[in-house]
Amino acid sequence: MTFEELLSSNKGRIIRLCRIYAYSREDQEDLFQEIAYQIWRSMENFRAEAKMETFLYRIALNTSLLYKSKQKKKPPSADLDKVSEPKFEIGIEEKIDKDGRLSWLYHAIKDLKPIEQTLILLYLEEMSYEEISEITGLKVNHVGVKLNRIKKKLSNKVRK
Amino acid sequence: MDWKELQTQWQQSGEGETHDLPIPTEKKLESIENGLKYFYQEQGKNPNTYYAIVQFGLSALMIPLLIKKGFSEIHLGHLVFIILPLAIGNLIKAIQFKETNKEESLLVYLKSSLKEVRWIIFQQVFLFGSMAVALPIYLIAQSNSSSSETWDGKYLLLLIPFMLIFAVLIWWYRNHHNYNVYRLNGLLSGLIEELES
Repeated sequence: MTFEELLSSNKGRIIRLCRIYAYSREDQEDLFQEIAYQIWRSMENFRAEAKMETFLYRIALNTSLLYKSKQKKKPPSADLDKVSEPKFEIGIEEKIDKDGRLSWLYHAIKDLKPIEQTLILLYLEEMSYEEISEITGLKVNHVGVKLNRIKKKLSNKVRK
Repeated sequence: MDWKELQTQWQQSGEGETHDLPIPTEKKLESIENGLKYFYQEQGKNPNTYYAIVQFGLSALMIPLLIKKGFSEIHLGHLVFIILPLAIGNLIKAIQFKETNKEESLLVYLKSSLKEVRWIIFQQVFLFGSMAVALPIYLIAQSNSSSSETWDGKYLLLLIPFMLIFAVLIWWYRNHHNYNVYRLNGLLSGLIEELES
């Protein structure tokens, strides 16, 4: 599989990740480019015994977390050309998000703690507990327990 | 909450707009990497370092002037010691920028230069902060001195530890605020834009 094919088949996944870790559309595009670059650079380190998607997602996630930590350190004045109030642009297709639940979910995930964000993102991408464990470094049992807690937390938010 | 349904909706959500974001080709990424390599190589012999030394050194000329004349005799004209190094330094940087980024307009340089204003203010605040701390110590020590020896030279020695503190603070500021990363981001965005156009 070539780099372009690999990125193309995982593009949706990376975009969803960018939406969580970057606020404005411009930042999301920047992060997407950065992830693409990091994946391209890391491809030679890929070991055949690992699953390509897991490998790719781990790079994408690490790049996103690093990006977010850099954004936090960034003094506001260095970003004068951007809006002072971060605006979350998700642009989810209306046909999918009929009841606004998905839009709500994006916002709710942003309010979670970083590790919780990571876990629920991986869960929503339908990754197995083993894959989540491999990406996050948490034990498989721990992943299950934590995910249940996060799901409960989000369900409670919906009720409110 | 039906999590299974949410998972399905979630996975469909990114797919509809995938056409918005073009996938960078390997050729583009190679260009970016070359740009990055170049940038990192340049960091080692960054004109900023020389510029900071020249600027700092020239600004420090204010010190003997202050000692010789005293604060009361300092007037606005002496600010030339600060403005001149800034102007010369910026001119050197602009020339070097043009040499290394032949395709870029000087407007790009000015834009990034404006972001450095905070940095320059920081340098000056710390420089004069060091002096402001060292001067009272010098004056107290001089008034308490029984001998008639002059302390003028010793003032400069006294300034050294404060200058070192100043240097550490600058180092911390650069690292803590990822100063170079912004420049790098700016450079990268410009590069990507250019490649995409």
